[in-house]
Amino acid sequence: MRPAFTLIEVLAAVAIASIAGIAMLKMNSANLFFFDKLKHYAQIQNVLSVAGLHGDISYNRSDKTLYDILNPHYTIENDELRRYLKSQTYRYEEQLIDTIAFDTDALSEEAPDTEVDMTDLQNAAAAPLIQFELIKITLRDKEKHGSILQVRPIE
Amino acid sequence: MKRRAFTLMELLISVVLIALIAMYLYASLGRTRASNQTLQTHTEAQERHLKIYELLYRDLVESYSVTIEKTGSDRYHLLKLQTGNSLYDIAAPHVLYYVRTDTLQLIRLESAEAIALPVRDDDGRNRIHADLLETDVTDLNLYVQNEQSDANASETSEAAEDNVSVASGPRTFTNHLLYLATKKGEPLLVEIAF
Repeated sequence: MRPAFTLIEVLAAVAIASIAGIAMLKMNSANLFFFDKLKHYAQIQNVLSVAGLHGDISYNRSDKTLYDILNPHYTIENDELRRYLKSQTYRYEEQLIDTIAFDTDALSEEAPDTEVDMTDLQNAAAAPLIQFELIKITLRDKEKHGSILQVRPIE
Repeated sequence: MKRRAFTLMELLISVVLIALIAMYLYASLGRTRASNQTLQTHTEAQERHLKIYELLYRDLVESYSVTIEKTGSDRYHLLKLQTGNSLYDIAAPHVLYYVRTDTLQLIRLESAEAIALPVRDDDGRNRIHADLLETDVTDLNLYVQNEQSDANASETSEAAEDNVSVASGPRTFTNHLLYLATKKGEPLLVEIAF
C-alpha cells in the first residue's frame, strides 16, 4: 500500500506556508506604513511651522482650518492656496507649560552701579516685570498630531 | 528495494505549485518595487523643495531690497530682489524668481544689473545667469503679513499693495508666507521673517 502523509505532516506544511505568506505580506505593508508615517510627520511639521506662530487662546479646543488661522494675518488671493488651506482641518489645543518673568531693570543698557543704595532698591521694586507664557500648541487630525512650543508675552 | 519514480501527475502538480508561488512572489516584489519608487519620487521632490527653500531663504534674509510683483495670474508672483547672496560671485547681485507659465518652470536669474522681463539676448555687457530650480510648478506666491495683524511688523505699510518695495535702511523684520506647489507631491508652505 502506498504510504500517505500523516495529519501532523500536513498541518506542519500548512503552518510553514502560512508563516511564509504572512511574512511576505508584512514586508510589503511595512514599507507603505513607514512611507505613510514619514509623510504625515513632514506634513504636520509644515503645518505647525506656520500655524504655531499665529496660535491664539480663543482657538483652544476647537476645530480650525489653516485658512482660519492664517486669514487674519495674510491677504490671500490665490484660489488654489485658499482651497488647500481650507482642506487642512485640525483640532487646536493649547497647554500652559510655564510662566517666565524678566525684570526690566536687568535689561537696562546703562552701566551697573557698583554701589547699591536705597534708590536702586526702590527702583528695582518699582520696575515692572516682563512676563511670558511658555505654551505647548498641539494640532491633531484623525491620522496625525504634532506639537510646538511657543513663547507668548503676557499683556 | 528499488525507489519508485515520480509519476507525471506528481511532477505536473509540483511544477504548477512552484509556478503559483513564483507568481505570488513576483507580484509581491513588484508592489514593493513600486512603493520604493513612489518613496524615492517623494523624497527627491522633498529634497528639491528643501534646496529651493534654502536658496530662497538665503536670498531673502541677505536681501537689501525685495519687490513682490503680481503677474497676470493670482497663482504666480514675481520676486525681484537685490541680495548679498550670490551663486556666481557677483557683489550684491540682482536676483529674479519667476515661473514661465508656458513651460511651468521655476527659474532664478542673477545679474550684476537690474533684470527686466522679457530677458533680451545677452549683449556681452550684462551677463544674466539662469538656474532652472523646478519643473511642473503650479503656484509660487510670497505674501506679506498684514501690518495691522502684528504690532511688531515693519514699517512697510504698503505690504498688501500690488507692488511691494521694502526700502533699505534700519533692518526690520516682517513675516512672509511662501507657497510653492508643483503637480507632484505636497506643496511647500513656510513662513519666513526677513
